[in-house]
Amino acid sequence: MIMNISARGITKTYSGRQVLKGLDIDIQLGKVLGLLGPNGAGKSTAIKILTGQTKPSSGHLEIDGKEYDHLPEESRMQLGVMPQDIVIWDDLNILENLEMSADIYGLSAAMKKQRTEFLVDSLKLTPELKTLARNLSGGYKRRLNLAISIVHDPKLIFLDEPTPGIDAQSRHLLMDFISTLADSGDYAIVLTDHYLDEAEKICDSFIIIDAGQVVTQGSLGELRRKHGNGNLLSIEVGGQNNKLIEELNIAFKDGKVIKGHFVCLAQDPLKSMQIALSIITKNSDGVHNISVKEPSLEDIFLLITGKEVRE
Amino acid sequence: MQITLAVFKFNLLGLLRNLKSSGIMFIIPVVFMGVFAVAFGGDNQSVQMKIGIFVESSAKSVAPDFEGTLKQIDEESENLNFQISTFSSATELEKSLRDGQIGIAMQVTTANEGVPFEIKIQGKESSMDYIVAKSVLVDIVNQVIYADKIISTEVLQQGGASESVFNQLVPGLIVYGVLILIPGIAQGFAAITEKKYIQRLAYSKAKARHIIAGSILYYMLLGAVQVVFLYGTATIFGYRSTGNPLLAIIPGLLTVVFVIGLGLLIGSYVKKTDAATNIGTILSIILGFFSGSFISGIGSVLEFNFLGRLWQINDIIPSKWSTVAMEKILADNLGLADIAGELAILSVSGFIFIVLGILIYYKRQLSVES
Repeated sequence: MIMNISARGITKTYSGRQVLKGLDIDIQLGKVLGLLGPNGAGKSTAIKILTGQTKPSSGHLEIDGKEYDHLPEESRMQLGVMPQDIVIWDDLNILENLEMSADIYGLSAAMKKQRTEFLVDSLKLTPELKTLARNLSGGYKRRLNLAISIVHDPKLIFLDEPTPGIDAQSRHLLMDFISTLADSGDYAIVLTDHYLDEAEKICDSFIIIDAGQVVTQGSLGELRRKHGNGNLLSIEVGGQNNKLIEELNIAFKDGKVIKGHFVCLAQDPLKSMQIALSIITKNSDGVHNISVKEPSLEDIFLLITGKEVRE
Repeated sequence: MQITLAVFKFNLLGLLRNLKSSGIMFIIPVVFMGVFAVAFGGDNQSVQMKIGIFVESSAKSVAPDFEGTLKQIDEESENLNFQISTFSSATELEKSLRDGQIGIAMQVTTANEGVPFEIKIQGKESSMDYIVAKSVLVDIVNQVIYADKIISTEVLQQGGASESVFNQLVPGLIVYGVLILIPGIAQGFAAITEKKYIQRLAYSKAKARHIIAGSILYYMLLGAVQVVFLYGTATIFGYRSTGNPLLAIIPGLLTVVFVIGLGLLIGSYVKKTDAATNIGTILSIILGFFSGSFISGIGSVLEFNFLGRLWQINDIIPSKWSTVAMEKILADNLGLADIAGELAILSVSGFIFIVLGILIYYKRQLSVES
């Protein structure tokens, strides 16, 4: 059984375009890693390499301390991979989907029954158990997508955006289930997600990728210390108040304007607020909001990359 | 085995739950059968008759010159077209009739008593040439000799086959019923790519051999069902076979192997199910024509000599030999030993296509991207 996977110096080039530029990742049992980045950052490519769907252009993988240039086929069976696309057996109902998946993983009859019952119960699939997969709602499809990815109870689980486009109830149900797995300490989970508030709750650490490069990594606390010193000053500036922005830039040298907000790190939040208010009082046109807060993951992401995660 | 059976079950459930779309592979051949049964179910008028004549030497002086008469009629008539061959013995004449080189045989022999000569007209009851030529020839002979009491007609093969062109076409239509599986098979293999099932299969114990074995098992079952189903349908439309229909399943199954290979090849290169279905349909129609499913003898449009033998263009198409084998079984009441050559060709070609299909499909669709 695989206990951990590490990637060292992973690069990937497609048709002359380098989509990954030297990625180092450690995945350990009992930990949840959030792999974050805007669209096109290289997250899915990283997942493909880590899960053996594609080979890296350079770099290597370490599996329990042994080096490989790509993930061996026999190791792939020990992973559970929930793809970003919904990949379910359309012509089978929920129960048949789980049974088919259990069969292709070679589970015994007893294990198949046990896992099927567990997943149906945990993901609340019972009401639609006999409905054909192609006729399910989006929420049920996502839950089924997860269920058949882990029917064989893998200890290494990769979840590529598990909750896009589904209702809030299904999203909470899914994330609660993933949290339960994470809290058990028996699984290593790699999660990519556009809902950073969800990722913030369950991940132990994060790697933020942009344009194929790792721009920062660490736990939320470490990221805050590195990139926010615990506080973020945010001023919503509507319109084209260039004079205000100019003065704010002079006062706060590391500030930047992102999506209509002037943001900067505030080491002394009270003093920063006073300075900001004095500038705004002289140039209040278009100012809608001012706040100082502990930065969320989304704030840190925005600060580092200058982009929203769904861009 | 668990995985292979899971793939088999998946394909079967897919068929049963998509009968509206996948049922087309059963409906199309039935429609063709119905159309041909209506169009060609009755007696047909053929304009070309291949006639073989043997005149016993002792009858030459007493019997009219039938050969000369027929040639004259052929020259003068716009509608009748005789190809007349003369034979030096009754044995040669009958052999030529059995081999299909002539459609109707006429023997003129001296009679035992009462009449100066006898005329025996022979042919296969299921042969189009015999069906049409018999009545024409008897009329002509009657006009020549002004008496019909010395003419006897004899069928070379006894049986209850309906006298129609439809009868001739049924074996080919059954083969077409197998060929029409190509679009469904191609679609099935393309769906593994289009619907990204490969992502599921890649992390499981399912290997390429399981996927392909499970699919082959399913399509072989489908092929056998199709052969039996279409034979039954033909019977309802009036077809009566002289042979054992159960034996027809064997060339049918070997044709399925060939067809699966084609489906795999299409699925290897085409990633969209719609495109795979379209290509498969076109291919099945072309193969159907050249296998003799709709027009018997179509291979004769292009013949050539090679290694001392006359070949037809469709000799290179495996399913043509399936049609030949089915005709021999159903129309000529021959056994497996008599179609050994056809079975050998089907086996070898089926093996080649399916191995090629597996290798290419694996390389292009199932192996890890570099």
